[in-house]
Amino acid sequence: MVNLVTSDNESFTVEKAVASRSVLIKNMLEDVGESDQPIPLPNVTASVLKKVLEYCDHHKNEPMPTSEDLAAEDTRKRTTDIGEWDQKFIQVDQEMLFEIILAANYLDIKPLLDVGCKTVANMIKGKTPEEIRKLFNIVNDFTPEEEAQIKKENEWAEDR
Amino acid sequence: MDAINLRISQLVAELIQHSQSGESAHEIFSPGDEGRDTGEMFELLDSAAEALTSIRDQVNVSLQNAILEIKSRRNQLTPIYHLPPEIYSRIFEFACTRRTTTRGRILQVSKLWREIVLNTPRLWTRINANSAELIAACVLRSKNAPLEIDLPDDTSECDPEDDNGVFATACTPHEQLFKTQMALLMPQIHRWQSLALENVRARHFWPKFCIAAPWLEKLALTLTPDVPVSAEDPPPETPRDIFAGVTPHLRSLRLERIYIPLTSSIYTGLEALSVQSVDLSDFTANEFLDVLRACPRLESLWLNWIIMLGPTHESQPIVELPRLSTIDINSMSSRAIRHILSSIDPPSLEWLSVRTNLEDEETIYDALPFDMIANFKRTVENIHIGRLELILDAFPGGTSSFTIAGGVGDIYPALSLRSMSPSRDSLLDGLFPHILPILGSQALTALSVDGLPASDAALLADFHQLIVQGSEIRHLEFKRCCPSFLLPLRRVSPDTDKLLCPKLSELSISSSASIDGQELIEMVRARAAILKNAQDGDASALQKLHIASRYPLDEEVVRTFKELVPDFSHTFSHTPPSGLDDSMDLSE
Repeated sequence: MVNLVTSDNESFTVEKAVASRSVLIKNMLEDVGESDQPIPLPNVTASVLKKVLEYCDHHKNEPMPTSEDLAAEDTRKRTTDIGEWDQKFIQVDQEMLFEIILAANYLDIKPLLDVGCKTVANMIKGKTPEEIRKLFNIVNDFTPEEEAQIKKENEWAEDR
Repeated sequence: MDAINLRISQLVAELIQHSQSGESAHEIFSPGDEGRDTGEMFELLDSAAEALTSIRDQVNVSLQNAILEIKSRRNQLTPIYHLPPEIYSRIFEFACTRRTTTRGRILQVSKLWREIVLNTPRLWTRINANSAELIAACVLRSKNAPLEIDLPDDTSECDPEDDNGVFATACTPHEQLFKTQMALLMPQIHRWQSLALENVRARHFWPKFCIAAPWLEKLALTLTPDVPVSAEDPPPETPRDIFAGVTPHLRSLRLERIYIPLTSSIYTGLEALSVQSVDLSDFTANEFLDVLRACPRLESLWLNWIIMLGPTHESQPIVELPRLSTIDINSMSSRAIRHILSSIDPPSLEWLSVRTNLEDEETIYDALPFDMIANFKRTVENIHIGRLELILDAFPGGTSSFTIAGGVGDIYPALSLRSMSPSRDSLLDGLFPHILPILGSQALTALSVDGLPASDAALLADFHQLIVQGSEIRHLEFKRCCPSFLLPLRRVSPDTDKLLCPKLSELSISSSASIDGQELIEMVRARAAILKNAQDGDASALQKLHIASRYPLDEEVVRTFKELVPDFSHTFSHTPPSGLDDSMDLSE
């Protein structure tokens, strides 16, 4: 078992197979060897780690993506399809969604990072700039010069 | 922020001071000014107005900057702004897939988003629009990333009159557009990864594509059917080989109505080769086999409407193609097809489709790959066929055709064999005995038969043999068939003493002739009775029956069917059922 300690000082004891879905933790375990020492995760809060571990536990028996898989990643074949379980798992509020993405990035859990990024991408697709701003509570902060440039580009852009 | 606020406060205070001083135009003048001339007074007033305007403009700029900074700071508080730029880039790459281009919209969301999109080269590598400005922007913003170029056909925007019917000489708007596009793209040929051009002509592209494309992986060139192919040979003065013969990474090649000689080194090392509507009559099937030999990792081969000579010599070493899983050959000389198919050795195919015209004196099964050499027969047997459709068409005074389409999916067949025959006799003679060995090992779940005539007992017996093997068939469809072909369904297998097609749950019958409902009722009743007595756990009673006929069934018959089959439907019209013609109906 592996003991993980979050930024808000909460401890999680999990199976090694679950924790090792994180390449960061896996490498730490390999470097340290057999040890009872808790692993501090200063960039992850307890509520987020709980969700991340739920994901890792569900996928613990799946093969880890190899470096060849990552190298062969082809943008031309990239899709935003998300598995059924993952879709339900990622149905959280926006704040938690972005926290999960940040945690997956920090912990180096590539498949979870992709689930998060695809979810945000799917939220963006098909929306106008104004709808996107509204969705993410963003305001237009362009200068008049930038606005003029955008207007000019819009004349030949493929999607307006 | 504080500095901006301070500057704004100072400017606003200055402005207020000016406005509160009550200084109107006449107050600008001091008593001594009255003696000034009019020109001096204008100068004085203009200078005062300029000073105020300058202060106002400064206030406006400072306020605008402050507002934008406040907005930017506000944006930074939103959860999504916590993401680092590399994750934004990844999200945007997912959002901008081949099907949905949201890049232009993302650019307009906010300053940060725009900055990230402009600095993510992979978002600019796909060039799929004709606008020169967009192409220039993509070339610049993609930096050194590999380019995927897919220029759509814009001929609809060109006036066909501009061509004046002379395809070989005029500089048309289309050609002008192509020149403009290529002026931007040719300097980047070293990073072309894929190139797809529609409605491009050899005389346009060949002179330009005379230098190496070292990273090109995928090439698709298509010519519109409106242009005569004969005018599209490469210009005589151009270099011998396209891309100077240097495309070491090319893996996928698709040519439609575009002729590139088989001697070109572009046909080397391919994994996917598709050639359609091209006259290769300068070459023989032997030379085409040399192309295949140069592509040992070939996975799919599509040859449609190709003119190619048959082999000049029959014996050639077998071409080993261990990865080949798809073959689709349509409308080529049967001699060329036979030579190609019998000279290659793919261990297992997932898709095979062959359509050919019979030559004189050729029997139907001689033209089909069933009787190919042993290795090919084994290949056909490796294809899993779950669904089979037999179509037999006979046109009085015309040709007959024969189709076998099979597959595991709902739409695309894994096996499709089609042939034209000058007579129905050669079409049907020995048909079922020839396909039975192929299908013997298959677990057919659906069978559709179209156009079986009221023929002799031998044909009925042959068909019976096919049904005997259909122990897994769940869906059965008869179109334009003699009703006697349904009779086997009320019998039991002679070997197992079980009902034929025991799992049959859906039956559909379409005929433009009248249907004897009583015979069908007897068949359904007989099956139900056999099933009841046999108590075969795997067997099932008919759940769904659809009858489409030209004339309505008797009301009593309809009522009986509704009692016997849970889901019964019946359609009729005085016109033949969709797609059928009286003259084609063989059941009459």
